[in-house]
Amino acid sequence: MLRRRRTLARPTLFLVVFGLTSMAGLLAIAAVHLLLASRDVLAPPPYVATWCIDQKLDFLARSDLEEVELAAIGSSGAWRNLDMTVFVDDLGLNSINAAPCLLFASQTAYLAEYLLPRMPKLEVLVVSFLARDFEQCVPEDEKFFDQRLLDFVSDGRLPRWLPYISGFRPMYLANFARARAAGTGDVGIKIHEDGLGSAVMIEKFDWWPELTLSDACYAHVTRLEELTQSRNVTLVLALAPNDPVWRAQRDPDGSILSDWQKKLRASVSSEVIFIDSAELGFQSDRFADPYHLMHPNQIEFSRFIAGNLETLPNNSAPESTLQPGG
Amino acid sequence: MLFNSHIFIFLFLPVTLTCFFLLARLGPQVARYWLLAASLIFYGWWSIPFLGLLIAWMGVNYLIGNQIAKLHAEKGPDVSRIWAVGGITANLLALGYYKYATFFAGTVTALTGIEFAMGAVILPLAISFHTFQQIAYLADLQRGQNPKYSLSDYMLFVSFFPQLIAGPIVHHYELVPQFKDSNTFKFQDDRFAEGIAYFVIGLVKKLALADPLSGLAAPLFAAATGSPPGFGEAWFAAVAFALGLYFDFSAYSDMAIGLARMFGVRLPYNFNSPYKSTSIIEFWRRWHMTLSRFLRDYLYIPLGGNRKGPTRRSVNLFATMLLGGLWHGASWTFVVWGGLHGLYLLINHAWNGFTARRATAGRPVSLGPALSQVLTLLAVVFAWTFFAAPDFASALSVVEGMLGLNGMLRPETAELLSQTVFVAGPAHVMQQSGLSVFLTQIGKFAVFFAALAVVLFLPNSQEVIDRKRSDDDPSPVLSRIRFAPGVAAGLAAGSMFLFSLTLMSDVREFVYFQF
Repeated sequence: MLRRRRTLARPTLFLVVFGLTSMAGLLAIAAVHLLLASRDVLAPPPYVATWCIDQKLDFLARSDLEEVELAAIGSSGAWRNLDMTVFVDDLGLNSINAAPCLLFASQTAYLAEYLLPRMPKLEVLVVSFLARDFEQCVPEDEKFFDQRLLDFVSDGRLPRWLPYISGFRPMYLANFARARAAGTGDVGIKIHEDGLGSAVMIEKFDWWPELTLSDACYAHVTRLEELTQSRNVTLVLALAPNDPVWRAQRDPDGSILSDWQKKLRASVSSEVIFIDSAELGFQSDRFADPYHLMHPNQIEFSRFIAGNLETLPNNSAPESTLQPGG
Repeated sequence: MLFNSHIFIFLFLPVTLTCFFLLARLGPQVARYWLLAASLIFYGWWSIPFLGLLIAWMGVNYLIGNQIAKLHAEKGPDVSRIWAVGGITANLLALGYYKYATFFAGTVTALTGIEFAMGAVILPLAISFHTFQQIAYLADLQRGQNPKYSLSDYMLFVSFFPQLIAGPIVHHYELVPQFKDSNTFKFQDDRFAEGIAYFVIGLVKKLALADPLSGLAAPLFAAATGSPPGFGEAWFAAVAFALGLYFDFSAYSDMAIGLARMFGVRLPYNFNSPYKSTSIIEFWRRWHMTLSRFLRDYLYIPLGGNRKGPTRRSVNLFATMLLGGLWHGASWTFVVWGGLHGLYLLINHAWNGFTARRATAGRPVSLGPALSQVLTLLAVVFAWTFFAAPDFASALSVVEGMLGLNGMLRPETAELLSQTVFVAGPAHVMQQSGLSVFLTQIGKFAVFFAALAVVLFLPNSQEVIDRKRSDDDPSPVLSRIRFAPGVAAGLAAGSMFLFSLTLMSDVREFVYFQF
């Protein structure tokens, strides 16, 4: 009697092969992540797939936001130009630099909307704006990250690796790993960290951005004030410094930046503390690129802001240092 | 919950399927309850309050249906009619409130200046689809059908999650008997394999074609008033929209059909290569087929159809298309889109009459299939501008562009094109814009032409998977692309699924969710 070889029916074979292929692919993806992590070239969890935003969202997810009393937000104007230890030492406030990078004013307002309810002890919100944060503010770009996902990861309802699945982008992972390994691009910029979220550049970076502003952004500054007012938080608009050589080339008669400042002041009430870093008179040698200070100049800029804040109700510096907007 | 989301693919679907087949061992009724519960969770994921509304809506319709069936059986159709008319009217009023209240108030305000103190009304997800299904159910009962469903059967018919959000618009008599069939509850590898194949094809269509295409068309339509498009940009935007909409909606339909089939349920097809149509009449037999069927059976025929002479038929046809347009969205642009198709259909019928008379007279006339297809496609794409544009001004700006009234190209496009082709060459443009921007743009154009080729030359999903015969396969070689479950197909489907995962980070809603 012949023994019959048992074979799978073709649809079953299809299902088995489909399942194995998918499983093998998923395992390979997981293995690549582990390999990149072991070589320290794994991108931060891709909430947005822009590494400098993702690293900050990851930092926020791991931070105890409930204890924060002073937070800095904005784009790289805050991230790369502040030293939060100054605020801790000079003002005695539990401080954090919550600013990522590349945010427009509308996105900064969106970030503030996320952070403020999660920071019940917040007293001061320092927004360090750059002129380039006002280049464009379009509604479709505003909600730049999924607040619910970040919440779930923050409070442990979802594991920290989950964004690597929901935001899986092979090219992003590959580009980051390549740039990190080679030390190239903005991923490769050498930085000084204060341990509280700031990342200040320690060498020159070749970058010469254009300067084109949009009027659509000012409404979001008004929105920031409404938000802080509703939570009894002091809003500080600290204009980040910029390189005078770049300024002379991009805005020779100074009209663009003075118009920007004028509109910015007009968009908020006199309750907002307005700090203009131009008073510091920083020269070109203090900058790593047109918009970002070179370490350790961020300490002087941060002290300048802190000095202005010593007049807050809980502090005792002279009132004359305040520059009300309006 | 979106079919193309991680939570659906990696959690909801595997859990629902596994429990369904395990619970089916305890009995079909248990599995049916599970499927109903899963479908309600699927809907409730979007909004719990609106899940309550959906349940209430189904409950009321079920009770009205029972009343119609009872009165029809005991006292005849004349007595039950009042319940049928009342029930259908109540459904239409509810749909009208949620979908059209703001639109009508805005229109009255625009015409009379009278302001209405009215807050924004949130459009409940899937309302257009499940309302039509429930109206059809009530109408069928009034026509004498008396299927005697339990409440859970009825709720499962309406809320069965693969078809709940955006169709295909299914009839109760197509779906409920399948839930009563014991075979449905047995795991069958061939059906499951087909289901996966449909789902994966839909996923790839959505992620690799529909989403990039919508990214091409949307900015051009959005900026149409501020920066009027030239002839080239206007047609490019309109064709990109036409392709994007087709791939988006047909992808959803493929995924719905595939998901249902994994559960052993067959849903009707919704698309049959509509852009291969050689007439508008044919187009409407191939585009959103279950909506066309609904409009024919529950609107056009009750209006009198073609039974009351050619003039009345034309009026009925035009009215059906106008209302069909309005169904798609609460905006006059959708009404114009429907009106244009009504007009096209009238012209098509007139042409058919003319060619029939000429044929009878022994002097036949024909445009030939190629020219007919091109003309049909042009008419359809032209009408899409009103569907795609956010408002009338934008639509008219694009239409002006299509007619050549804004020149051939916008100045900036013309300059970019001349720089690329005649002056500096692609390398220079790449240097100016940056490699990644340049490659992204090239990629978008590649997707556009690939999508066009797929639409015009490849067989559609049901031709591939269910081996449906098609008369319009352009090439005998391509027409042999058929799904044959086995190792090769499993590898291909697995690879396509993994490829989809690389595109799933930016989850976008399906276009028809807004309807």
